[in-house]
Amino acid sequence: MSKKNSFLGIFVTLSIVLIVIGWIANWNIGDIQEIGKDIIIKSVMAMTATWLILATSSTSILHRGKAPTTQTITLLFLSVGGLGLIEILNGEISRGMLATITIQWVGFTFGTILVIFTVLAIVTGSKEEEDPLLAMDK
Amino acid sequence: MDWATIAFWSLLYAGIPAVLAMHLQRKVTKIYKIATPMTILVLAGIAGTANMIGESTHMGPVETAEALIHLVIPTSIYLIGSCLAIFGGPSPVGPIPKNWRIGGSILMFISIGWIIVQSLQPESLPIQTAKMNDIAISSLLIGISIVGAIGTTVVLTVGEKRWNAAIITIALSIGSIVILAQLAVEKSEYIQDSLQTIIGTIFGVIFALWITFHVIVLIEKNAALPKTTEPINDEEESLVKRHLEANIGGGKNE
Repeated sequence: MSKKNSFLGIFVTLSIVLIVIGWIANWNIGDIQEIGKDIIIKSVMAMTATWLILATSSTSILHRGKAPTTQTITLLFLSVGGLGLIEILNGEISRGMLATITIQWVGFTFGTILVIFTVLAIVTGSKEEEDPLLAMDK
Repeated sequence: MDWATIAFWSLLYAGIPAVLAMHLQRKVTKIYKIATPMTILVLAGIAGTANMIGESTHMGPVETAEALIHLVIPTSIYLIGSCLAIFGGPSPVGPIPKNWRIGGSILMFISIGWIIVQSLQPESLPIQTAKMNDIAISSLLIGISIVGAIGTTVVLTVGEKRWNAAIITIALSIGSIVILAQLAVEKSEYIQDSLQTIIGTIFGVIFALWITFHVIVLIEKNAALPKTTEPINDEEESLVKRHLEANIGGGKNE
């Protein structure tokens, strides 16, 4: 299957699963504006966290010259901008909100790890691949 | 938010990645030398601020840590089981005996059972139910159902059909959706919130990485070019050719 079709397949699968879970969770189409706003707020929070993590983890390349320093400062500014956007969209960031989203991110990460390790356990357990060299050749 | 709360979350999201990056330095630089003391400071800061905030009616560090431990228990059992299954399998990739694969599979099933009980009847578990258990478990199940379904598509589209892997991943996905449906009877608001978070996170992370990529390209483009050496002259070129002919072509090296 081509790369384009693979991406299309992943997109369709993702959409189907999200719709099914949304239906299970009693998503009301009438509240679409509220749902959309919440998704945007969560999206900005994810952006802020990503920029902050990338900026702070750039400490390992700061000694390499001017460009990494500029990059780190820019990312820090972007994350501060993200915080400002959250304040505008949601008002004050509450302690409970940060705790909830942290646990949700951990839950998604652990869910992803569980599936990846399941696939690895199944694939490496195949009797056909008893000889790794033969498996590589295949 | 009070200063202790701001300090706690800042240390968690900014301090931890920073000290991890410090430890990942390849050479013994000044930053590498201060990595260990900085790690101790960050961890002490996290513990200290969490202690200052303490338990509260709002969700805070203590409640987050409690829910985290409740997620870590089944996940670590599953990971230990799957590692035993991977390295104790037919492929000789580790020092684990082959027969341990069965033990690994049993651990994986125990973990799945634990997750089911933690979702539907958490009070039956030998540990106290976490305050944020519903939030944690609904996000874990949504994560498994989405990644399981995507995993099935990927496994089936990579060319070599691995039906066993596809069946297992779709079973994980469907199983999680069924548990979510059971959970939704009483606690649908947690599933709604987790679902909105995962959609927002997917968009947010993709957009943030896209912006970061363009920012880096822009900064690198405008950065001063490093001093380059002069191109090789005719004499050097003929010398290189002579060496190549002598070593590859079998000619005489003069």
